[in-house]
Amino acid sequence: MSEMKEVKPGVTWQHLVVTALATGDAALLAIYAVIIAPVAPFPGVSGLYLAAAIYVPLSLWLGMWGCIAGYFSCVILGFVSTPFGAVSFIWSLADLVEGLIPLVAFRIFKADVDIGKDLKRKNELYILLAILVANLIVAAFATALVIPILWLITLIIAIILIVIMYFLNPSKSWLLYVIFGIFGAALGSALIGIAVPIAFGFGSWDAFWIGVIGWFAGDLIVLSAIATPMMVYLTGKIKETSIYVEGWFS
Amino acid sequence: MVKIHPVTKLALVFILSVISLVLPNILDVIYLLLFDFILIILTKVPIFSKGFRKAIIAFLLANLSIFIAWFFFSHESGNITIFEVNIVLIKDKWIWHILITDQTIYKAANISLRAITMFFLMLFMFVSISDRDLIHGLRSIKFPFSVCLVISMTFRGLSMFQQEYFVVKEAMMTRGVEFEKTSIPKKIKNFISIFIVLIILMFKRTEEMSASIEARGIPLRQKKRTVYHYYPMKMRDYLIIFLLISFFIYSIYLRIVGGSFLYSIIGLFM
Repeated sequence: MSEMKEVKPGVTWQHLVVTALATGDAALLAIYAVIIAPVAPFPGVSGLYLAAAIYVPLSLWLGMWGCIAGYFSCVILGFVSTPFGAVSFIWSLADLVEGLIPLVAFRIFKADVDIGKDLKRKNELYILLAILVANLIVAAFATALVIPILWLITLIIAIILIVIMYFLNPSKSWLLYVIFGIFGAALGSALIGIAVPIAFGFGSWDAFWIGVIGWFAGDLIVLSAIATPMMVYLTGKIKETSIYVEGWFS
Repeated sequence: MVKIHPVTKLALVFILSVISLVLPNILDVIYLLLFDFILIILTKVPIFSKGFRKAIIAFLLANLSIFIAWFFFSHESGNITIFEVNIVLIKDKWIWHILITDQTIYKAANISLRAITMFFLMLFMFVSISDRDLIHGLRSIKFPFSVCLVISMTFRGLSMFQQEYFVVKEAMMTRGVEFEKTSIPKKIKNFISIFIVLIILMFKRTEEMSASIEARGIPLRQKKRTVYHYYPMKMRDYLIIFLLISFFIYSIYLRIVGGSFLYSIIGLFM
């Protein structure tokens, strides 16, 4: 008798179809977000970027397919509602990175993406998360206005909040999600998303931090307020389906 | 214009939009913008219709933000200072300082003009290429079938999501969920509920569509696949693409030497 071997299914039509549909969904939300909450002076930047609530969880559920969906949704946004034209292909790397940062973190640390599994003291965690988000927005302002004392205070508060969160709910997944899925993703995409248009002359470097704060705050709010509950409620169910991606592509 | 291959139209849009960023002389960009208008007129779309006008006005207002950004957040020293004021002071250090010079106006106009040029190129793309044309065009140049199908499904995803969003929202409203006159935390909660339903619907659709594709025996990778609608690239398409690439290379040269396309053309005939 030959030994049984575990076979990885590889890339299937399911992955391509879900990427296409997710791209469409995220693109529509991105356009809507840019219309309802624009951040002057940068076109294409929203103070409430709803699309991030779709493709960041998707990148954790579907691996690179979620990141690709984020990238192409941003390309569509670039074509439809910004004057960036072909530059959109480079600008959209910001949204690719936004999905990639939490994905890389979870894969490197070999953590379970189900942040809702065995979640303890949910209400206290959400309150702490809200305080952390507000604190991080203040930190962004402190960075932009070059106020080191305020920046240091917000950093200490952020570390304390994260430590308390860990004591309330000692879960590696939750901690990784807060650091990389919310803070890291929002910061990484904000830095790229503002630097690219400026590098191509669509703005002045003097306006860099204003744009970064707008982008960062917009993504931070959406990722913590909408993407987090979605991750908590849906991850367990999606892991049971055949669409769920354990590796990078399959 | 309709007779041009969709891939040629795409090349026209993308290469010209890169050229509009590369060309160093503002006059050349103005001529490129005029060329954009000619392209749009050639598509014979009703450019003076109400819907079209609305889209253009919306974009021009968005473009104004780029212009204003240069006014309020740049420090371009020039020959003539038009306006100067200090706004934010922290610890005897001016954080926000508005300085408007002749150079500020030149740079703001320069980038706004390039942005308008790219916007009209995108507008040309949207009015002249339908999603069906795009897919058939890509297939005709041997673009992988699976990629074409994914692009097609993305367009489908856009309209499907919009329909489903309104269906879910109306279903919630009929059950007494308030969307308009409610507090922000309640609004966020409602949004989460809609998003969760939409994501579940998306996964359901994915299973249905992928099962249907597999049932039809469409493989992920197969090179020899025939197409019903075949748009072959013609000689004029190759000629247009060749001219575009030549123009692109020449615009890079102009960027390096700091010349003008218009003056170099005039120079040829003088």
